[in-house]
Amino acid sequence: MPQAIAEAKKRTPGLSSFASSPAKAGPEAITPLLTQLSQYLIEQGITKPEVPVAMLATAGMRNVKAADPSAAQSILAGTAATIAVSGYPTAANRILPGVQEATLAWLDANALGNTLTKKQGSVGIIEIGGASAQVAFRSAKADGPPRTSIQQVRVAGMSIPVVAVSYLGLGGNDARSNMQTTNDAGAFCFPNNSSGQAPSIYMPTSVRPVDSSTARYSWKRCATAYNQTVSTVGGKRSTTAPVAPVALRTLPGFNSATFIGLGSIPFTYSDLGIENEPNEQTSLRQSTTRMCTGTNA
Amino acid sequence: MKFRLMMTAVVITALYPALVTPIGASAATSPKYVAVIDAGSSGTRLTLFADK
Repeated sequence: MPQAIAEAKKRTPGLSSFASSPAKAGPEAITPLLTQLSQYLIEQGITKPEVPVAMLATAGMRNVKAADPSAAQSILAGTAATIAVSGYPTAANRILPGVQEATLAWLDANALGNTLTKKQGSVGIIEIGGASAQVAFRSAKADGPPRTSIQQVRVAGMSIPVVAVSYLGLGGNDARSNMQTTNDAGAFCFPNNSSGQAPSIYMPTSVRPVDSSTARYSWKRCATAYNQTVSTVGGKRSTTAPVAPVALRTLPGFNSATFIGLGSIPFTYSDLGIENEPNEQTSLRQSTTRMCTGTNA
Repeated sequence: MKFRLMMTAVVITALYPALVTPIGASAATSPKYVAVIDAGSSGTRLTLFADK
């Protein structure tokens, strides 16, 4: 089984931020990561040819590709060139389609959990990225009704039907931006600050900043605002999202799956200290309210 | 519906290419190590994985 043994300490900007300057994508997003990797490998006595590099881009780059295909192509050409000249073999350098991202997350979770070949007890995944959200679970039926996006995952001599969907716009960053656009800059989702000082815990997005003097946190109104975004954005049908989020639970297999939260979900739960709480919804509400209320939250 | 939490990336995609041949990859053998660059919209990160 694969195990993470090291992680580059410093992240670099998302590749989609180089849409207007593709030539910088390799030097500024990839090179710093490979430099950190090289230093680690020298310490460990591992040579570069032993370590293929797989660059897999997700929704941010899917957005770039949709808006400006030539920019996406230039960015990928830049990252490919950077990996090539670094001395590492290239295992992959591509944009993952949304449904494939969902399917592979499901595959990863079940392979790592040793539940891949079990009809009962397989896990589903809910992955919140920055620009998109993925949901995948084993279908209870080999073939679902039309528009349910069932993928046939062929592995270990079996063909496993997996419902896999990707909602563009429901990643954490894009969902927040949408929520703020339609809800008074999302004031109800930011810490109360009657002191007028900038929030000390959570700085809002620079794209659509909340006036700290008007931020007035309310769990109920914030939840309503986000539910509206999920309903509106998730209500748009596409090839990667042929079924609305609210309808997923009606599909065969959903209710029998135990879901694993991926992407920003574990980071959020870890930050709030609720990753081991038995009732995540209650804990999330209580912890967030405790953090965001008060005169100088 | 219950959540468990797990931090992962598209790991097996790179480490076990044969596993996912039907949906994308084509290599026949698996390396001992792989460095996965996860290029998300909010940042690009690198994780080194070993097949243990």
